[in-house]
Amino acid sequence: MIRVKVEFLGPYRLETGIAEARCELPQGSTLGDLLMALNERFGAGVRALLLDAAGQVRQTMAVAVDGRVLPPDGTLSYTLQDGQTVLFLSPAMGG
Amino acid sequence: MPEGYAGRILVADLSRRAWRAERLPEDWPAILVGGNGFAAALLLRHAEAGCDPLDGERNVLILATGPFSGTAIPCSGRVVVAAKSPLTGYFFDSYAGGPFAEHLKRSGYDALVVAGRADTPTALVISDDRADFRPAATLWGRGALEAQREIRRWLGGEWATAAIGPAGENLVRFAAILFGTRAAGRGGLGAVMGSKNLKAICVRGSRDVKVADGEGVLRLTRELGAALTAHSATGRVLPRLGTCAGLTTFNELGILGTRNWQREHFERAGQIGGEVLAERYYRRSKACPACPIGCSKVSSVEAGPWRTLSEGPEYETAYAFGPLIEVGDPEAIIWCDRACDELGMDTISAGVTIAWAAELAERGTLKGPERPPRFGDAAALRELLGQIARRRGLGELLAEGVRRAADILGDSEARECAMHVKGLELPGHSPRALKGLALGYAVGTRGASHQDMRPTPERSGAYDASSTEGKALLNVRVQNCTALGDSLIWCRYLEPVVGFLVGRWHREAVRAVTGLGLSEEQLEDVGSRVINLEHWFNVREGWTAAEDRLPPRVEEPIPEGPSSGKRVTASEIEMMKAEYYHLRGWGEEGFPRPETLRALGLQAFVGVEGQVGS
Repeated sequence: MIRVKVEFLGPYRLETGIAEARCELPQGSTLGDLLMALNERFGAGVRALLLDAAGQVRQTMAVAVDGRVLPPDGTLSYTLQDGQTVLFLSPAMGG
Repeated sequence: MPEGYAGRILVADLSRRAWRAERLPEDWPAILVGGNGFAAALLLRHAEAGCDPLDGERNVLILATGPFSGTAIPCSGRVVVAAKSPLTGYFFDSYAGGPFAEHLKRSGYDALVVAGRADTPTALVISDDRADFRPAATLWGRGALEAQREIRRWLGGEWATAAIGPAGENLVRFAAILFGTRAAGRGGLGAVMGSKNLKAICVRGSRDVKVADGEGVLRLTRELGAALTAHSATGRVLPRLGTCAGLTTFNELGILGTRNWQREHFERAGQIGGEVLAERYYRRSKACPACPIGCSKVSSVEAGPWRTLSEGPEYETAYAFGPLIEVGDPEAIIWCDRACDELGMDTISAGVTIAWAAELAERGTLKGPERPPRFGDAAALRELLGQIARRRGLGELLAEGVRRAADILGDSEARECAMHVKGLELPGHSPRALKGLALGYAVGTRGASHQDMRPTPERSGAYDASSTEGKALLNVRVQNCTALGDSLIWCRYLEPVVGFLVGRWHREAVRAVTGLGLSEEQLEDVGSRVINLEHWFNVREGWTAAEDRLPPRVEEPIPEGPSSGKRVTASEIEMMKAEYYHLRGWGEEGFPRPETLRALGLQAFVGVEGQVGS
């Protein structure tokens, strides 16, 4: 098993009602697997914020692992390592 | 003339208190589209070459509409204002949401050129075909919001208004123009208005705005509106958290400008992010005309020393009055937001200039009879903002903006920590962490603006932020898209749906509104044409490639936090810059080649004959 820390920012924090969570996943789990685990704990809201109806990462939405923002097409297949921190980010904007 | 255009330009001469209507050139809609494009062409034509930007007789102020202004197309309720900037000395365009553009077009004009200088404080009042010059001496000295309330009371009925505050009157180089409660903040265009003794502009129009394909506009409006509502960024995040939603994200990534960019991580960011503001201070949302998003938030502080009501703060304001000067008090930031609106000042430039002063005070370089600002000292802001707007005490120096203030001190330390490009102070997006954006700041015709090259493509992970590879091309294509968007006058918050590059939404919307069957390639050429016009203006005003550089501090690695070690070097910028000039069809020194200008059909605008820039 691996353990990862998940931090929720902006809309994800509102959705889940918490700032962070710890997740235990089987070795070799991907970020897509993490999303499914979060789905069970918090409902479909987290997934709906990040992904569109076709299951693709929405434009301007992103996830970072240990501070590195993942490319949209490599997000769900990213293999998580024990001890990593996953950040669910607010959309990229200015203002 | 295609649909979506009024077909005329209003030229108002304040010196002679006279106005005339000119025909919009027939070919402009297809080659320049509107807004930004019209403003660049008009500024080249009407601003005297080499003029002092604050010479009200010789600089001009341009306001322009886009083809979508006054239609149902989502996110089109915005206006552009442009002039030769008192901060940069170059072309500058700034935007504000609200009904001004719609009323200007309904009054029969696609653009307004304000020339000359009034003898006494004046308000320009445009009602359908007519323009009138009204005395405004009793408004002089009053706040930008207060003055608009008063002038609307004089006029009665429904008017779109714009006004400057004391900062514009006193020629503060980063003075803003307030359109209702929304600011065209950047570039000091409020000071240009002040140099003309022009306190306010009011417009009311009653004509129809016609579109080529009404059903097509309706269909596209529904489709785009639904897509915006369905997207989490535009349907949930912006409506609930406003633009400050991103502040804690920037901080967690370690790319939030802090302590005058000495650091990029702020311990108290959690106290001032959109999550906290939404919970404690937002009272309601506001939307610009034709906007289904409603990103703007009305905030209030109900009691205490910072008691106030403000439309905002936006993310850039929270950055500039928060981490940049190490203030973690959300109430102080909301108060500063309202104060800057009323005084009529750009919050980014004000915050960056104050942060610079705080750093110099800490080093002992900035001395004087008054208490200088200090990092973390929110209380000092209460007086200082007013002093800047009225050019009193230390405010006299800071009102010059950070580049000129450093030059006045004449100290190398003062110059090294002045965070600007071409005189425009840095917004809240890290050039150390986003290398494509770093190039965008360097080569931007406005200087350090996040509205030409955008931070979003790299921040969203769509492009590798740490690489210089391909960033020159990315800049060209994103800038072409933003220049086209600014010519259509389409809000940047369409990005989550419309994207970072010119695409089918642009093509379909232009076709439905105007009937012009421009391809995506032709529309991208419009953006390129506009960039070249802006750049040509800058070349005319003395630009050289030496100015396309970043402040030296960004070469120093981020000292701590999640992005520790990230930096962008001068050699990286020079390498990307050379490629950028090449892709733009400019020479090694960055001057546009005559054949490039000819290929874009710009001969009539720039009079290309021989070598440029010689």
